[in-house]
Amino acid sequence: MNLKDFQLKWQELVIDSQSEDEGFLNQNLIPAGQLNSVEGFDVYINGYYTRLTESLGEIYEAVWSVLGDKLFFEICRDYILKNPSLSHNLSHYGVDFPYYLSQLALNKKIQNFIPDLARFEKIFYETFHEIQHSKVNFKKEISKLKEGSNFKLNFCSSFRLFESDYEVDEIWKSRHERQMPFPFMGQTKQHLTLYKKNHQISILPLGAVEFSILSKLTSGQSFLESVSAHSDELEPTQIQRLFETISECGFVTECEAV
Amino acid sequence: MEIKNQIGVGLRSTHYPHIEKSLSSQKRLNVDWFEAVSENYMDTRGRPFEILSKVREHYPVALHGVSLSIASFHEPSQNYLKRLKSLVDVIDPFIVSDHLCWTGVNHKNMHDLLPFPLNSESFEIVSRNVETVQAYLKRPLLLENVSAYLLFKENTYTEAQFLSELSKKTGCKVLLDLNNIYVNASNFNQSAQKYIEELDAKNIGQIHLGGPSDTGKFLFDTHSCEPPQAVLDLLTTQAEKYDTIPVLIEWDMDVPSFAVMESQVERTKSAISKGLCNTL
Repeated sequence: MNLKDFQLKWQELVIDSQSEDEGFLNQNLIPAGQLNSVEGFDVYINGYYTRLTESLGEIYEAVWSVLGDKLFFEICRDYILKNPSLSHNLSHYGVDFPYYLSQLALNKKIQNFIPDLARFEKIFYETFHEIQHSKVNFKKEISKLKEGSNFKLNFCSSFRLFESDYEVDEIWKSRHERQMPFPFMGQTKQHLTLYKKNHQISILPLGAVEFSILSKLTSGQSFLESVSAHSDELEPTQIQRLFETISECGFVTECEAV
Repeated sequence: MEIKNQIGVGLRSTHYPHIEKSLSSQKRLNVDWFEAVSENYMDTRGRPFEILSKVREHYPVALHGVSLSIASFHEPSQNYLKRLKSLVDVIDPFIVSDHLCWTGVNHKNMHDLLPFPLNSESFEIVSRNVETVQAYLKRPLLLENVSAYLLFKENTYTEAQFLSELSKKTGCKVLLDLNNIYVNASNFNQSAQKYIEELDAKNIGQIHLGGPSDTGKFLFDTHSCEPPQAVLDLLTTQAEKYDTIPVLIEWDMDVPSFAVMESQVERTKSAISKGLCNTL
């Protein structure tokens, strides 16, 4: 058997079937210690499952906490069988785990808030790995613009917006205190922003309107475009408060006249 | 007895607070250098990268990869090489290494250091891949011998022969993991001493020490304890030949306090010193 065929066979046994092929193993391999060749190969199959499960558990720690070991491990095994790792970085595994969980929630296998909790954890993980940008004086940037002129904002790379029908950040905060079985969670709309400040991740609750304006601004819309959809409900003090928030949090890196 | 080997430890997130504190108080740690796992720093500009950059300002750093997959039948991933080179360019490590193994093919990754048949076909493929990587990185690569739980009946090289020939052909160096030699020797009833004697010390660019777990049926390379005395004894016997080679202590599971790592540095120095005295 040439190297290509051997590697494709090995990979197929570990990733796709997670099973042994006794004939193939006995024919080609000598096992370690007191193991037989099937047990020797199991070291690699178990290692694969364990590493990917650990990686999911590291990122989706709160999901693990509310699901409990048994259900979390069952879901991970199923997910791992269907989703091989395609990255050189083990920490990148499970990018679409929140989506996978949303399918389970649709089928009533897990509570509805869990996919959102996973989405929150994924966003938190992404923010953690972003650079801490140097702070820009937002008020000074704004003051450079001609009075009444329209503008666009550029946000730092660690800036994230998160919206959910559930208060998942509260569950996330208590992720180290296992609560099994987890009580039913009612719907309470939540809008958050996550960003880095002084090398720490900050989580800030926002009102629905502020959240919507920031969403539009991050998508590249100008200030006037962003607020126009809310002209009926917006009060000048709200805009002022939003600007103060932006200034205090320091997540805007540039203010560009349009 | 003065020893010339520089002794380092693996950079692990558990130790970040201790390392940061020592850096800010300008207190020198009792280690000569650090080794960082390349993949843990390639795709981040967050806290891990900030720590590595700070460490690099004060200590030499080696970058040690786990996903190059040098023995895959196809060429190494260009995306991986690009990311590795970016990190190398920023950190300026004194060593760039990975493992003599494969981790996956056709874009899939099993995140494991997998064995492959040591024969002439593999030799040609690995040589080609090493040359590709070295040309891309514009520097020599070090490759580490790995622990294995299965060996191939069709091997026509010993691992030591394979590494020696590879070094001769491509100019790459060997990262000699004494723990992995010890684990494989125990698991496959081979002689660790014979393995070491097959390798020319001039081809060795770095040494790893670590501690395995005994499952009762086989030794498992877990890096979960201090290097066993038998592993240090291998270093002692070669102390004179390996007298300038940097040595690294790996500890990845149940990672102890940094003070314990520093005591392991002293233990390693004693083992080398003992070997040097024995040769006088």
